[in-house]
Amino acid sequence: MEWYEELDFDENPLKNETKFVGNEEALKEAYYSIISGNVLVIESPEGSGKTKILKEVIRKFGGYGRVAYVSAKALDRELNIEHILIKKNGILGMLFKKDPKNMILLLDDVEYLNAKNIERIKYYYDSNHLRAVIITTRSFEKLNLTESMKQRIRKVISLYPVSEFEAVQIFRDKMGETILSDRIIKVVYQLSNKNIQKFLNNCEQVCKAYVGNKNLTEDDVRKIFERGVK
Amino acid sequence: MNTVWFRELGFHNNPFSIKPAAFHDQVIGFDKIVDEISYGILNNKIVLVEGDYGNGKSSILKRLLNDFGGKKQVIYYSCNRMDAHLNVKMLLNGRYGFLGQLFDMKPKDMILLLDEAQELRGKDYERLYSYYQEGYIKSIVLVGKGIKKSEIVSGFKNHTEEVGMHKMNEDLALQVIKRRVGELPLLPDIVVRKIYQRSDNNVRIMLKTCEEVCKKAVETGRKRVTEDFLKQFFQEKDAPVAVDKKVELEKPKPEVKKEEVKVEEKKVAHKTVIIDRRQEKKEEAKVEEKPKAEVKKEEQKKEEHKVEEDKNAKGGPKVYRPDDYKMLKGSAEELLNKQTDEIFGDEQYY
Repeated sequence: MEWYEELDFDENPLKNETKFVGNEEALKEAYYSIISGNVLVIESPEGSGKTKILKEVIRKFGGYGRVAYVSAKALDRELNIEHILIKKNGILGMLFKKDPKNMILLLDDVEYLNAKNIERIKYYYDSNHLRAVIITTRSFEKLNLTESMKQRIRKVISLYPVSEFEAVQIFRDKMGETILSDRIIKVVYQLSNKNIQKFLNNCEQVCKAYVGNKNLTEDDVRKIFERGVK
Repeated sequence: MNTVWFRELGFHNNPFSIKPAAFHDQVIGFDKIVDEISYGILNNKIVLVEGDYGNGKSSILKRLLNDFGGKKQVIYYSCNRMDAHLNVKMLLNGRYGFLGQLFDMKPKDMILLLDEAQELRGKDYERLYSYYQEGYIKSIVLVGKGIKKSEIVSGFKNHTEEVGMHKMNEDLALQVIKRRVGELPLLPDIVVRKIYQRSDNNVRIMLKTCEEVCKKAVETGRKRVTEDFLKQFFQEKDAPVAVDKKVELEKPKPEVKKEEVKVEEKKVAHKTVIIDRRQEKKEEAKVEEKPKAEVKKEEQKKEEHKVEEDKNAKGGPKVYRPDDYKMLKGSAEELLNKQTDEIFGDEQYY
């Protein structure tokens, strides 16, 4: 029996998609840049919710076959954005070289863009095949953008880490009000270096302990972490 | 996020889009250059156009497309799309579509417009030259920044003609904005000129800053961008970007507060005291949420004050107190007895 079944959940609640919490300003910027047709770069360290923003964007604008989401993690070294865009119209489109219009390109977690791809993005953006582009990256300088591409970028925004209060909110959205006290959640969030992905993984560990012992204290949680470190 | 600033102003799309020739095929301000280029095209020459980023190179090509297009005689190609080298044959075959590729049909006397020509190498020039000599290509326009002239084939050199781009002056930049937004009360001419001066005489950067300024102005509920507002905007922009959430949130508040103070001053002038503190707070909250609705509310308030003044003039204390229900009662009866025209001046409503 899995730990979440004992807590009356059918599936792992920590892996459910829930409401977007924290960084609302950045989400607004993302929505705005798509509506107005701009290039936006989101720069932030790991686990601060870059992908979550893109997912929200897909949820809002997706459904008409207009959003192209490319995760650089899942790609080989060679990425050809042209292929991705042409594929949209299927085989017939590829035969007649029909270019789609008004697409939205989301590039997730790009570490390095080679010059060819930058030029391609530039061309498609200029010729209005791409309506808007959002690029998320860990560091903007490593992207190696050319001067003419930099001119086209409207804004480079960086995300700030989620506050403790918001971390509690995220946890409550997923798990409900009764499990674990706010204080323990805050401790878990501090111990996971303000990284949301790590925080959720650690929460799973703590919840497992909670199933065995309903009266968890802070010290218990700290012990769990010490074990995890070892 | 239901309303975006340009939707509120009545545009469906972003009027300051930085895509080249995004809205109008007619491009302003390059008459001389376009004349020179067209002259070169008609004389079967190779025209080199060089210019800095964001000065309208691609826009010029769009305009040329418009001038010479229509007879299936022009090919526009952006060289940053090519893989290893330029495939001129494919470009020429493309005129007859799918069949052209099958039967290898090639048109004669084509005009080739090549954007981003700095990507071209020596081999590409050789290939272009051979097609040029055979008469398939009538003339070529090469546009880009930093075109490698040393790699151009010597055979071409007798036919080349160089055209330099100059920067736009302020009046033309103003016209560009006028073309896009028309006579917008939000953006006076002086402000546009100032923005253009601040953006290194670069049209693209100007469009970007215009967008930011308008966005901020609409979001803070302004009807007109003043020079002070612009100064403040540039100060914030030049200052190192503060990532803190608090700083970002606190900035817009003081402006709103100033306006509120003004509203309160008006109330004092009317010699009336506001009764219900709770209502006032609610209204303040609303004002903070939707600064746009503020103006209407102010008007409404003025009307209310006038009505109250009428009441005060008909006897009773000058200060309006909620506890004095007698006064309320009496005045209500008086009001009921009179006709509506006497109570409300017609001018307020018509």
